[in-house]
Amino acid sequence: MNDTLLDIKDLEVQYVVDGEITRAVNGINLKLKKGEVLGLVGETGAGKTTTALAIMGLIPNPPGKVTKGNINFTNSENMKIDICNVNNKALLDIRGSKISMIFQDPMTSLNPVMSIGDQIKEGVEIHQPEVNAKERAKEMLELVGIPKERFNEYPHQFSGGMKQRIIIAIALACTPELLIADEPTTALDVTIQAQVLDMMKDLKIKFNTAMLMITHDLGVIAKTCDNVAIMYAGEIIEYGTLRDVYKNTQHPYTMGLFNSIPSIDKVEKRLKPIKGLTPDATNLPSGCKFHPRCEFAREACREIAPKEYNLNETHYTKCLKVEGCNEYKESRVIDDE
Amino acid sequence: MMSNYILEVENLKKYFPTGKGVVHAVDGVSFKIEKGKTLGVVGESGCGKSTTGRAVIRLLEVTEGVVKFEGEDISKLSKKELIKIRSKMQIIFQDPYASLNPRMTVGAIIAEPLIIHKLTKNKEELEAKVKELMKTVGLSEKLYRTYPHELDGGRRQRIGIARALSLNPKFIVCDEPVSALDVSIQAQILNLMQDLQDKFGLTYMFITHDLSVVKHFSDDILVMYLGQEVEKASSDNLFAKNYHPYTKALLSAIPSIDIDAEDKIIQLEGEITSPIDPKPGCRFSARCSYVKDKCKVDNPVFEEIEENHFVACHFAKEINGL
Repeated sequence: MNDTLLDIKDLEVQYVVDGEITRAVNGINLKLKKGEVLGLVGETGAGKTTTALAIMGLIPNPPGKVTKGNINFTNSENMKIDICNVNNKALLDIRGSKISMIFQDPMTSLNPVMSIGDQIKEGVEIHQPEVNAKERAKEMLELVGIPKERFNEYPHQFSGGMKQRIIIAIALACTPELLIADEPTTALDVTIQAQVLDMMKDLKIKFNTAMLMITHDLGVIAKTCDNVAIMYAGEIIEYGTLRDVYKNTQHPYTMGLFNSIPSIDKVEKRLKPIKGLTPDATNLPSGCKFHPRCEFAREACREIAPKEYNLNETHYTKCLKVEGCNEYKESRVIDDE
Repeated sequence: MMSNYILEVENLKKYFPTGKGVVHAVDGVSFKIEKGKTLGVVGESGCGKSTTGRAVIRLLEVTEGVVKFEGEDISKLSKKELIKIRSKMQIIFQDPYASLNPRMTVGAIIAEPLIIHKLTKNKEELEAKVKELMKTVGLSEKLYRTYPHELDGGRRQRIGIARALSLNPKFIVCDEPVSALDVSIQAQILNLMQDLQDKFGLTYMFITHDLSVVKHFSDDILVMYLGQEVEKASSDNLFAKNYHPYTKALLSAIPSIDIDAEDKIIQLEGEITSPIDPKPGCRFSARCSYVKDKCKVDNPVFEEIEENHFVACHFAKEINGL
């Protein structure tokens, strides 16, 4: 049985501005099963949001373009389409009904001059004309914990946490098979974040929606995800189950991320940050893109771009040191001038 | 004899009149900060932590209360007197994108306080001093003539820190200095601030909503809710045993990166209530699961429940079986 919902193959996305090429996503492979929650972690500029927009077919063109690869989406009727190679009409059918997205900032992603009920109703009317949209919208409101009597109120009458609930209601109103959540709780306070994450978990179980959870917060990932992909400079440098990545961390960058977070449970005098800055996507380093910041970097890392190296069936990383290849072992440590 | 405290705040209040009523942003807060130590102030948006930070260095006029800096009440000083004392107290702002003048070079931004307070004799001395400050915070001299927009968030925050350091202050209010930064950069900046504290004997008031950062960084922690103090203790103490229902819920809500940790979130109902003309009684009562009739009528007193551990809750002892 094939239960793969989303299959991204060798995806590359570039933005061209003033003749300069920004290489935002550089050859990503990613699979998402039905009902799975996958966490996509990375810092600013790692290409997380670009990946999400590519899945939605929303890369602004110009300046952006999918230059290579495909994104195969298989829906429940076993219809397979490649999002990178379909016409706009087909995309419109999928967006909002089969795949929907929650954006980061709840304050700006609602229409201020439309009642929240109408905003939830809108997608249902377009995609499922046979359904009573108003009833569905009211159901959704109750599901996300907002009394249905507030159907006719406007976004400014709600707090941040409530707005994010409304956005989730909109995204789930057509019971999509894939929900992309781009930093869904970053703008919220922790107690509200806990409420929203809890609710998303319940709804996920209720609708069996697969989820791509994009965040830079490793704590949120630990709470919600089955699998994790760590992105750096437009590549996935480590992928595995939650346990693989958190308990058997392999890539130096992933280790660096964990070391950078002050721990609640342990007492430590000093943090161990990753040196340097994330690379400029218009001018990426050669070889392993992390090598200028890596404490284990050797000359081989400057020349050879590491490939996916499988540690077990579910866990891979892209690192010459982990791979233990001869080129790495035999080459010298980079001495910086 | 000089006291050990650099800052003593007594019953500080800051109200903002609005069309809908009076916002009680800070409503009777008292605390002291020892020299060379860090007080972390935590709470959710709207709890009054930033307003407190600004009021203690008089970037905001105080509605009521006393703010003593090195033993002197600064809440009623005139503008002239204030300027003198201001060089000893500085602030680092949250958003390094918005707190730097985009039309000034890095050098000019760091030099400005030195010029205003006439601390250098000539241009050469000024430039040398600025470059020394840049070195102290880990900025390359090459950036002297660049503009903030050419730099990333981490470097911009370093400029903000260099500017705050330029007058050799004794006390710095850090208002969410790392929340706009990525984790790897955040760790770099936190380490830098720690080094500077050791080197110059600085005292920090560290305002943040990030509880793991505040635990790492502070000696004492003050938890605020709707303009009032809820709980205060030493950093280790507060995380080990906390007595206020709000603190308990707040700490339990931090998503841990330990995937084997038990899920013990105390889910709070509802959201923070309005700070406009608040009703008497405990401000947390609307969301508290231990609420009793008394909580809705009487204001709880912020009192010492154990040595150096303060809580504002009528039933703190009963809830915790003390």
